[in-house]
Amino acid sequence: MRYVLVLLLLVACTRPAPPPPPVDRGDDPIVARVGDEVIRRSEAERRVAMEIFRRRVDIHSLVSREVDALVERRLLEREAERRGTTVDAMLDAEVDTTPVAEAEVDAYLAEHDLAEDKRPRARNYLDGRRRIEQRLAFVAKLRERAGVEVTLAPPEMPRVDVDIEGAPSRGPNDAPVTIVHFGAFTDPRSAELAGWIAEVRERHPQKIREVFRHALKPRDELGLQAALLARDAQKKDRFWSVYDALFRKAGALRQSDLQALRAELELDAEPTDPSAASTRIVALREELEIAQKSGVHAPPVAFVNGLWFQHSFGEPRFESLVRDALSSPTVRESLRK
Amino acid sequence: MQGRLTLGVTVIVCMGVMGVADAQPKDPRLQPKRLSSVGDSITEAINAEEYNLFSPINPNHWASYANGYRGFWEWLLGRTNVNSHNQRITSAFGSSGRKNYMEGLSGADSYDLLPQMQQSVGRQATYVPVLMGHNDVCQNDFADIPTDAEFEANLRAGLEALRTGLPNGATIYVLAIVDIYKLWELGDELTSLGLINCQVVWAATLFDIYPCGTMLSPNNSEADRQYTRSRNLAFNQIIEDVVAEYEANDPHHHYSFTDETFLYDFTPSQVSGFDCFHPSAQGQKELSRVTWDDGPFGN
Repeated sequence: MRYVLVLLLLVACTRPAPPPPPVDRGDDPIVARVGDEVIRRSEAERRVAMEIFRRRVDIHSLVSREVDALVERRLLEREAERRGTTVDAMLDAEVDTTPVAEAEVDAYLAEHDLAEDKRPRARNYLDGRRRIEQRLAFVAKLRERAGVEVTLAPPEMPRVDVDIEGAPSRGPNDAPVTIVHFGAFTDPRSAELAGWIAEVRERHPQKIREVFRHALKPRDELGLQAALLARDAQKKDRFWSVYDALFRKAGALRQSDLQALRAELELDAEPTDPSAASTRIVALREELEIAQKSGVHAPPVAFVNGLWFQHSFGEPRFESLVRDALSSPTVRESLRK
Repeated sequence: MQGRLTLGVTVIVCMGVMGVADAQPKDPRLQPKRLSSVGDSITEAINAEEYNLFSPINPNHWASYANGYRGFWEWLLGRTNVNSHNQRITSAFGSSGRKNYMEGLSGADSYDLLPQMQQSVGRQATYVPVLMGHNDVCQNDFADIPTDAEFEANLRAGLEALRTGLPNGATIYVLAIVDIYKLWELGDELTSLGLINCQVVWAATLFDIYPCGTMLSPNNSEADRQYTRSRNLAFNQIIEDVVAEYEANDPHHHYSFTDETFLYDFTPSQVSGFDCFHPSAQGQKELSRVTWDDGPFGN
């Protein structure tokens, strides 16, 4: 019994073992430490994933062009070697340099309804195109015979961890689908996108969270004032009133609309003091930098659970992106809870 | 005999007017503080980083490789700083006496060289960067592309206006036409970015809404596009030869040529995210860098 008491005392006095220190994983190294906490490379990369993606596409583009050039060179060299000649001599032999017949030029001028003074230009084109076609057909034949297979794969579209800290949001905070809308209040397409988001929210009120971030159009003074008004409203928890009212105008916003809204929501008048005005602009610029970092260069853009959507893709694509997000296994799991 | 004599007299007169190659030293080069750029939509930086869905042609002069600048909106929206020739001149030679004129206009071609260069003369420019010819190869129909002789005549007419009108010591810097085939190639890759469907944008060329059917029209065959590229190459050779001739024969002005614009390997992010074809602000930045470094005031 005494031993048991001593043992219990020992256990009680023993501090729990500290968690093992975070280890540097090769595929996701630690890039910074803040006290006990660590920041891994992936955490930083997810925030600028679109910009990284653009650079990866650039690299892919350069490599891909070189692959094509190497394939063609290899094919021509192999064939020239087989024939016991040089590449240039082989191509000269394969390409007929006889000028096209005048009848062919006549036909082109007639078909394209061109005046007689275009004859030399048309002949240039027909001669040049024929030579190029012959060269292309020859290379295509070599490709087919050799069985060329290019296995270089393009990079995949990433999922972006958009910075939404401090941004206005509506819908459940723990909703399984988050849509971040980068828009401008003077932009009719942003207004249209706001409408599409409203429709999916109405259909799935408990499953979708909407977040808004400013992304101005260039040289848009009214858009700038509208963004500042919305930020003022956000401080008084009236952001979404401004959002709905401004987007209802479908981009046809006027100065008087902003004044009326400011009065209706009892917001302070625009500061006339230059230093106060410039502080507001600098704060807005910080928010606009988030758009840049997220890869948004022009509104409107939405991220659906981190996946990029641009207005020009159209509403059906937006709906399918939301549908996919709602049916993804992780989302289904969170909905069951 | 009379024809041969006339030719001989013409040659002698030309040599007298233009001076003879290595016979005379050049006038001292003036500082490039009065910039007057000659060009087309690339000089205007069309659709470089800012665009409007309802208009296919959106000048972004702030992003021009030649005349670009940085003001309030560029700062606020975090736009790319292209570090244009204009900015580099101020940085290297100071801001006093600076002038920054853009004669370039979207849609201009070699037939506009003369009027634009006459404007440069009117400005009494001391530095004239020239980037022209894209709309000679970019046409609605292949039979609209000028012949070599037509293109050369247009170039000579313009350079002659500069030779007779610019202040002595001025610099004329002619850049090769950008390889527009390479720009077209990037379309597929831009589409793969998932940011824009380039084929849809280019389909507009069918209705002449968007220029450059000879490269961008979806009806083109690969041979058609490569034919257009062959004209691109031929015009660049003409530019190089004619500029070299003026440099050799005009003792009062400085002429340079670079083919860096043609050789530059653009990547998808260096092409407009709106029209999939014009250089983006990143592309303009690179154009500025490579042309400045290889040019008369570069490293």
